[in-house]
Amino acid sequence: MTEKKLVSAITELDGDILDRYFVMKQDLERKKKLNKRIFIKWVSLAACVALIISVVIPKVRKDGFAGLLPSNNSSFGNDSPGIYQTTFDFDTYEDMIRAFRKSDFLGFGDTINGLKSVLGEEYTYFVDKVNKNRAFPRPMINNEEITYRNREGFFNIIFLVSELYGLPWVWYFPVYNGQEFSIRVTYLPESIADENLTASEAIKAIAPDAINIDNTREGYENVYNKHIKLADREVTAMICELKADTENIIAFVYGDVLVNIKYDPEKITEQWFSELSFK
Amino acid sequence: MKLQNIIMSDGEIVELYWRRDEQAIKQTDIKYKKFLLSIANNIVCDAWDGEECLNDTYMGAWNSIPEARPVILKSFLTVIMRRVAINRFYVNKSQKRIVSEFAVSLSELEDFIADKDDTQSEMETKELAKIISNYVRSLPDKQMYIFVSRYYISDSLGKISEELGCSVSTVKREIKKIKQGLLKLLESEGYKL
Repeated sequence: MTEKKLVSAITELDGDILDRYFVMKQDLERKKKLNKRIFIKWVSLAACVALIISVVIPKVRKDGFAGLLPSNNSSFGNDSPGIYQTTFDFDTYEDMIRAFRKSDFLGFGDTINGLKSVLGEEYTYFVDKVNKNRAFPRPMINNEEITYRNREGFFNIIFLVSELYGLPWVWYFPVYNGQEFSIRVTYLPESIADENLTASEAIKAIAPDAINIDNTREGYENVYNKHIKLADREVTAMICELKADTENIIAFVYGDVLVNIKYDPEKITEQWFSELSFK
Repeated sequence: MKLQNIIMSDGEIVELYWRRDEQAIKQTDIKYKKFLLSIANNIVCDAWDGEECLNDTYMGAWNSIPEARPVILKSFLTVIMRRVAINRFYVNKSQKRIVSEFAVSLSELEDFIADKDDTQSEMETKELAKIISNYVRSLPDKQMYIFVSRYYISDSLGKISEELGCSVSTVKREIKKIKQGLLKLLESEGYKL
């Protein structure tokens, strides 16, 4: 037979054969996609196991579970919640206090109290102090609780189990003069709570490598002390002016807490600070 | 609802042909252009010719449906594309040598081809087509898939091996078995090879 005859004959292949071919082609493609997904899942699982074996277990053996926490050398001015993803979120101050008091009688470790067994001394001190006082310092403006942002999908108060300087922080989210911002508060560690330190001195004591007036870093225009008048006292605040940001960061010690606020100085003015207190 | 953003089922597209709605061509293009162009490229190995074959295929589909009401549109279009592309192949071949996958696959079938240019009657071609169809239908799935991929769609050996998840040498081995079986069958049917 000639080439053309053969080619024509093949072209005239019965339709059911082509149908069978395309059905099989589809099956093969589906199987390939499924095998790829299974392969990716196994590779991810293997990677996790390898990570646990090579990094997590040696670290836990050496330092206990506290070894998994960050050191106290976190950089100042970090506007994000930090490494630890564990946060507790609340709409009201009362919800937060109730959550602090919730016991972990089931032992799952998923309550604020339950995490004391894994998060170390600073955390335990913080939680125990809140529960002993049945309160935590909350910001007031003209002796009234701040106006929270009350934005749908967002909480008004967040408790971060470990954040700046490796300490637990409570972030309040008020709104003032059209600006939403955060007021971040933590207890000073027990060792320095009674020493009447300035913010810069306190930060130096807690985290020696963190930004203070004697230790600045690339990205900071200026870091300096400034006397600030609050509603009920004057404090020596540490002001950080950032190069690439119109907002400043202010830190000050208020009694036994360290306060940190990132703010737009054109909106959150000295007037606002003069009305600020903590209850 | 913009039709062009949705991939329709074969049944819906065929319905558009029956309603003489020109969206039928657009939907066919959205769903099958890449596949049909790959067949064209396998045979004519030229982008311009491939596009022309594609347009001729759409024209062929438009002219055939209705009467036809294909269930698996892909098969239906493949038949048209193959015919169109092979015609173009032979036209181009008379002017220049074409190094396409189709040409390579033809060279694998030289055992079946005689140099003598005997008269090609339609009857004989239909008879031969029946014999080959019956033979391919009787093959196990894998061999059927290889035969159609290689000698109908004209896919490369590498692509076939990747789709089947086997090596190229396995595909070559299977092709050898297929050819041996077909050769035996054709000789028993009285074909001089």
